[in-house]
Amino acid sequence: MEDPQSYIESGILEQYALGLLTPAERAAVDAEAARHPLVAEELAAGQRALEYYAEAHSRELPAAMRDRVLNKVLAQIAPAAAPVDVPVVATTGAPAPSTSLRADVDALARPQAPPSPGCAP
Amino acid sequence: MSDTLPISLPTASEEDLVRRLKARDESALTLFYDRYASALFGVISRIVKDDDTAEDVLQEALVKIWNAFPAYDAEKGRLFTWVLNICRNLAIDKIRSRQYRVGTRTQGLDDSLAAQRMPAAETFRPEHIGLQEVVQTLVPEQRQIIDLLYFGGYTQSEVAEELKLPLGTVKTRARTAIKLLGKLIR
Repeated sequence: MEDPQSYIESGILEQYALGLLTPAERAAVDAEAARHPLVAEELAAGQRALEYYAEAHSRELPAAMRDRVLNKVLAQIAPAAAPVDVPVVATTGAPAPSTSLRADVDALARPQAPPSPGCAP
Repeated sequence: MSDTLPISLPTASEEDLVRRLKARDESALTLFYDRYASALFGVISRIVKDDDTAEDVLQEALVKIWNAFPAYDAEKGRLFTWVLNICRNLAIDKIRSRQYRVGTRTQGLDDSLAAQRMPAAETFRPEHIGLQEVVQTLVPEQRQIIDLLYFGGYTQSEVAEELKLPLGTVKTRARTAIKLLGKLIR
């Protein structure tokens, strides 16, 4: 292949960092990075630069949004043992979500709800 | 400008977070949210340009991150880069399904370009000191190209075509811009 320096200058590492490459192209860059420390260093620098750019766009988020988002996420994630991508919409016969998950969701939904002392239907 | 900018987490915390997510510890999602949500939401909302949609995308992204986490390989890249790419891809898919399918791709780009021309304060109301540094560091031509590539989902060729610039110029500006951003970190 070409020498590391001209490889770096080709701009492919920036394309990698910007997410513009196909999986096959990414794999090729990973292979170059594994062979040449200079390429690896340059690639990491590009990724950090874009992390910085992303971080610079941070927004202050309302607390209510945190509860909303986390509740929905916890309600949607599959139980640890189940295969991914199974929506937790109750289908008959589907395994119930793990009790620890349910407990988390409940805790988030009603942070202060005390257990009702043994009455109420 | 001595204000501290939390660019990267202390390595130990990131490692701890990764370990707990790998162990399928659901409570780590809360920790994850507290660490990353403001940056992820910032990026997503910059792409979809609507806070309600951005919240939906963030939620989808968290579910996806959780489900895909077994595939995350810390050897191959940092956690933040990995999750940023998941969020960007979901957000870009969202605007494509909304605008691009209907008609011309050009329409979407025009919107992006119009957004670039707006004064920064109106575009994203920077709440973060880092953005001021970015604005001071990159010339508008560089920032426009990075934004189209990173937030707009365009390839370098598409940017070149739309901005009527040689591809080489687009590549050079992107490369220079990333280099300049990298210098801000130290």
